Amino acid sequence: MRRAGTFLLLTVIVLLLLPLLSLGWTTLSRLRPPQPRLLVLDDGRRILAAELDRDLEDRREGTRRVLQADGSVGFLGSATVSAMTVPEAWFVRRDDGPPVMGRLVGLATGAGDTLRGEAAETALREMPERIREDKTRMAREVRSAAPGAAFGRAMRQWELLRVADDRALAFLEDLDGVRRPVRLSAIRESWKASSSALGPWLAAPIRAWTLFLEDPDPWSGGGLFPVVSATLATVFLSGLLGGIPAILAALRISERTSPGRGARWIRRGSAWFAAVPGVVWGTIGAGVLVGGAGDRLDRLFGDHAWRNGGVLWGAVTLGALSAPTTLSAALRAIDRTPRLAREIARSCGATRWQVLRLVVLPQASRGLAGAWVSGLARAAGETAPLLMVGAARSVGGMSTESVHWFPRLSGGFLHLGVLACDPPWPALEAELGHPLAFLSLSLLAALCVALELVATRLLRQGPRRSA
Amino acid sequence: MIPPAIHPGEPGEAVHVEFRGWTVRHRARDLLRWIDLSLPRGRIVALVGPAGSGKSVLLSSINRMLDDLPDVETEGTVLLGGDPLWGRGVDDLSLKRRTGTVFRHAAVLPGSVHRNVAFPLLLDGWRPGARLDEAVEASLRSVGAWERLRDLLHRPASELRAGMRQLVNLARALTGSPEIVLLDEPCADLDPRETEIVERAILAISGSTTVVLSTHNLAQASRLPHRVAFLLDGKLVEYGPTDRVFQRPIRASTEDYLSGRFG
Repeated sequence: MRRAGTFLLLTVIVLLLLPLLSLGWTTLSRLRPPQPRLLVLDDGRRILAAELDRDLEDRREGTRRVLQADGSVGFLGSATVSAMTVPEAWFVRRDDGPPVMGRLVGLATGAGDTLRGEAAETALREMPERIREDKTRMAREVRSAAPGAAFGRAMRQWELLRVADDRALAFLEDLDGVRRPVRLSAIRESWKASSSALGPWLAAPIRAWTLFLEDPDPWSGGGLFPVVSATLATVFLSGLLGGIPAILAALRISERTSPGRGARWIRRGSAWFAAVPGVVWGTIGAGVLVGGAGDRLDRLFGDHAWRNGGVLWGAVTLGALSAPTTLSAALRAIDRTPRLAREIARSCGATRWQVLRLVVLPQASRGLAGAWVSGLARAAGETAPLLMVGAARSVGGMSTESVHWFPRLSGGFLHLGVLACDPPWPALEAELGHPLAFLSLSLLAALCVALELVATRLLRQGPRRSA
Repeated sequence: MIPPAIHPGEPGEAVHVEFRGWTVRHRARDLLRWIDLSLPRGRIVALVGPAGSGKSVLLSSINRMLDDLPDVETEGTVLLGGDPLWGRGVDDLSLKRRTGTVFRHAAVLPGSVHRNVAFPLLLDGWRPGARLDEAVEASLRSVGAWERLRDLLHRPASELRAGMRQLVNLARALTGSPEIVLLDEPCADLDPRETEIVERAILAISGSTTVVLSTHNLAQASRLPHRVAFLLDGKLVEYGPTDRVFQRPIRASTEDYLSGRFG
C-alpha cells in the first residue's frame, strides 16, 4: 500500500515537472545557433544548408526541407550520403530577408575600405551593431532638429550615413562560388560554424543573453528586455491597482469583530469571482476600457493612443482579474490572526484604526504580503485578456518609444505570453528553431512559479510572533 | 417561570455599577432580561450560571464590548460611578479606559510582555521611556508577577505559559488604573496551580478596584468573591453575599445549580 502511494506521488511529481523540464530543454536546444552544414546527396550534389524543423506533413510524406545558402527553402527528394560541418562557413540572420550562409570572402566598410581574413570576421561581429546605433542616433537628431538650417544639416548628415550604410557590405560565397552581398546594418546575428559538437551548446547561453539585450526588431523578434520590462510593469501595476484596494477591502471587512451581512457577501463573492476565467475580464476590459474610456480620452486629447490599449488598460484588467484572488487570500490571512487579540485591544479602548495598526497589521503583514504576491502570480499567468486590451504581437506596429526600457501607459504594449503564443517573426525563422518563443515562455513560467513560491511561503508562515 | 430577582444590598455600601431594567436583545432573542443589580465599590462580585445564562453579556454591558456585536438592541440603564454607560452622546472609548478586561482564553496581544502590559498607555500616546517602564512595573507588582516576569519583559508574551499570560493580561487590565476590572472566566484554561496564582493576584487588587468575575468554577465562586450573582436564561435569579448564597440559597433553581443538579 505504501509502495503504491509512493509510486503515485512520484508519478504526480513527474507529471507536474515534465512540462517544465521539457520547456527548459527545448529552450536550451533552440538557443543553439543553427549550423550551416555541407550535405552530399546521393545524386552527387553538394549543398550548403541548414536543416529546418520537420512538420507533420513532412513526416507523413517523408520529405526534408533545408534552408539553402541563398536563403531559399529546398526540398530534399534524395537521400543524404553524408553531412559535415564546414568550419569556415558563416550563418547570417538579417532583418531585410531570410538568413544566408557562405564563406566570408570580404567586407566593405562605409568609408570604402575592403577587409579580408580575420579583420573582416572581427568587423562582421562588431560593425552591424555600431552602424545600427549610429542610425538610431541620427534618426533621433533629425526628429528633434528645429525646422530650418538645423534640420537641413541633420538631413544632409542622414543622407551621408545612408550612403555609407548602403556601401557597408559583407560578401558571402557559397559552394558554387556565387557571391552575395549582405548589408551590415541589416545583420541581426551572425556566427561561424562550430567545428565541435559541443560548440553550439556552449554558445547557447551567450546567444540567450544577446537576444535578451538587443534592440527590439519585428523581423527576428529579438530584444526581449523591453518585453520583460513591459510584462513586469503590467503585472506590478496590476498589483497596485487591484491588489492594494483588495487588501484594504479585506482589512475593512475584517476590522469588525462580527462582520455584517455585506461583509459576509463580499467574503463569499471573493471566492466565486476568483474562479472567473481571464478571457471574461479581457472582454469586459476591451469593452469598458479600450472601447469606452479609451475612446473618450482620445477624443479629449485628440490622439489615438488610448483607443489602442496599453499597459494601463492591461494593468487595470489584470488588477480586476486578480483582485478577488488577493481579497480571498488576504481575508484568510487576517482570519488566521487571533480574533481575541483584537477584542483585547478593543476592550482597552483602542479605536478601530489602532486595532488595525497595532494588532492586526503586525500579525497579518506576512500573510497580506503573500496575498498580494498571490494576486501578482495570478495576473502574471494570464495572457488571453491582454490580447483583448491592446497587447501588441510585434514591435512593428508600435511607436518606437513604447518598446523601450520603460513602457508607456498607452499605445500598445508587449508581453511575454503574447510573444510566445503569437510570435511576430516569419515562419521560416520559427522553422529554423527560433528560440525566443521558448525563451519568453520559459521566462514567463519562471516568473509565475517564482511568484507562486513566494506567495505560498509567505501565506504558510502565518501570523508573525514579533517580540 | 423564573421569579423576579432578589438582590439585597448591604446598608452603607457605596454602589459602583448599577443596572436598572437592563435588557439586551440580539436578533429577537433576549440575552439579558430586565436586570436590576447594584455592584459595590472595591469588592469582588462573581457571576455564576450555566453557559448561555448571560454572564459574559453582562460583563460586555459594562465595557461596551456589546457595541461590536451587530444587531444588538438594549433597554434600560447602566451606571458606572453614577455616569450612564449607554445612550446618546456617551464617549465609549473613554468609558472603556475606565475598565480593564481579561478574557477567558489566555491569548495576548502581539509583542513583548512589556508591550502587552503597557498597551493601554500606548493607546493614550505614552512614549517608551522611564515613566512607561515604571507604570509597567507597578502593574506587574500589583498582581504579584514582577519577580516572575522582570527578566522576561522583552520576550514575546505569546511564549509564556497560560498562567503567566493571564497574569500579564491582568496586569494589562490594571494599567492606567481602571475603576473596575472585568474577568471573563480568567482561569478556565489554567491548571490548579496557575489558578491559585491568578486568584491571589485577583485578591491583591480587590479593595482598591471593583472586580466582576464571571466563572463556571463553583469552588472558585465560593472562595474568592464577596458577592455572588446567579443568572439563568438571561435573568438574574439571586444575588447576595457569597456565604449566604452558597449556604442558604433562597431560590430552588439556585440551589439546584450550586448543588450540581443541572448546568
